[in-house]
Amino acid sequence: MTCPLVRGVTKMILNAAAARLGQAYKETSDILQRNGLESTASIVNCVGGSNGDLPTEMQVSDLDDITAVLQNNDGEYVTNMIDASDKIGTSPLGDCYAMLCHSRMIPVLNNITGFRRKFEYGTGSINTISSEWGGINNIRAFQSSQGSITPSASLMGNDVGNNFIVALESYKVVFQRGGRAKYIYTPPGGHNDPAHLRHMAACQFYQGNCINNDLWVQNARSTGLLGV
Amino acid sequence: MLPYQIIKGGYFTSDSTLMKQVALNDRPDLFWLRDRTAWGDDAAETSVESWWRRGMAQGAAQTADQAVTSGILSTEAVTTNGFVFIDTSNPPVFAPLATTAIEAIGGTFVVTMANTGSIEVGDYVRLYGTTGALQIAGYTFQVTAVSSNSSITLGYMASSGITFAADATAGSVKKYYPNLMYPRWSYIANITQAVQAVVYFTSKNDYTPGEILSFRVSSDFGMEEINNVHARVLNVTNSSTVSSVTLDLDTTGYTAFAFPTSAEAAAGVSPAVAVPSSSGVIPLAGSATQPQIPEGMNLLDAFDNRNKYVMQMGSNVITSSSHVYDWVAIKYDDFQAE
Repeated sequence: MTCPLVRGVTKMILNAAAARLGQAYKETSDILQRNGLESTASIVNCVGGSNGDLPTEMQVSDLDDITAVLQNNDGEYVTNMIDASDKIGTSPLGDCYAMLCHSRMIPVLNNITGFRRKFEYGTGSINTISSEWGGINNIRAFQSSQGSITPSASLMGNDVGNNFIVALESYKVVFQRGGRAKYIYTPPGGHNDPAHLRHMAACQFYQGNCINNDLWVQNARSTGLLGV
Repeated sequence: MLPYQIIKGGYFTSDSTLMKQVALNDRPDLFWLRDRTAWGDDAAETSVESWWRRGMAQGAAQTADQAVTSGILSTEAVTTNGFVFIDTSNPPVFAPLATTAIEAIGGTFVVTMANTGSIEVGDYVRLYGTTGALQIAGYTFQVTAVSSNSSITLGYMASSGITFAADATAGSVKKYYPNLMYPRWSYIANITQAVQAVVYFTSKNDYTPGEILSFRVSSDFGMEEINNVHARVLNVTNSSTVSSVTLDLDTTGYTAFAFPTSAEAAAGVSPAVAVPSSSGVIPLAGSATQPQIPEGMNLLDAFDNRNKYVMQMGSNVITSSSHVYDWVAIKYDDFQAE
């Protein structure tokens, strides 16, 4: 590839491919961690709601109960208190545990009495990440389309959202040395390509998931999810 | 684009269950199965050869039957108990089936079903809306016996010795495939009051001797003393009807384990579960005091992603037991579905 034009185009294509593979890698990494939490976290049914199912839709009393459980188990908060400010429509938030939810939990979160969207934080949404949805009392909620849902798992057969409420250092991800994401590009002429027709690209990583303390991770199960 | 390849193949000898699962390392576009024992033996054989192509419905198969003496093949298509491709991290979904009774007073946990669908022995099912026995609504079980279009038996629950005050009179049964991330928490069916407590589960468990388990048992289930307690596994039982672990934990002074009533469950409870906690010293053959020689920590409980691609073959393509079957899984260079 001595022609600058060809070299430039190839580089652009590879950059685009690397970006897509990068996203695939991180999503796969998240899915592995999600599945790890799903399989090992203690489960607690939300019972504070009023939809007649079991678990019910999540309510503030359920989150307060989990906060008490984690505090009783000596679980450390993940984030520090967000101070109050004199901005209209804002309010402070206590030291918080992190709650990892599926995006289908958003309507439930918004209906929790006293739930604060992140733009209502005392500092506004400064220092928050895009996946953060809001918080209440001592829980900050983060949502993702890759969150965990167990289909038809409630008393009435509705989908159940698995909301992992985690304390500081409750779980960890171990990356082996040299095993962080690796982009593998095979130019045409590789294995099974005698006519030099195909580019091949792949990503590879090694990842080990682990719960540090089973008492510091609670799965608050909730119904009332957005329908599909 | 992946190059065309035969991604896996092999052979197996069928057993009386007429069901077989083989693990694959990729999604196949074509799966082919042939009865090596019956092929060309001049005896009549249903489904002497079968195949499944990507795009066909789950459970379906195209098959060839062999005629007696002449060996002439005739074609057939089946819609159930053929091939089911399963990605355990993103498994197929099954429609719920109705039950009209679950026997719980006597503790047999036989689930009456006019239509048992594709449920087979070893499958996982989730129950819900179990009128009269809501304490197991949302629970998952492994099936230990199937009487086609009559009933299924939740034998692991039955062997735990637990009974309820009332049977269920209606409900839904939904087959599902569990995610195979390891280790996993388990629903508790019963816990004995003993010097070495035995914990029974509703399906086969994958715990190992030396592993430390932790328990989440609220007062709704009686034995609240065990809540948040960590205990070492001494023995593991995983038979065709019993799933249990023996613990290095004396529960003789604990309150008896019992499920809440249906009404109590409907009012809101969290299920009793065992969660994997950490690694412990491996015991010597179930002894609580003697470690294995040489001593060692149980490292079998390390986190592991055991999800896999599986091709399940049912009784409409494996039609004879003790026959040798050859199989091949193929992925096309360029699969076009138009």
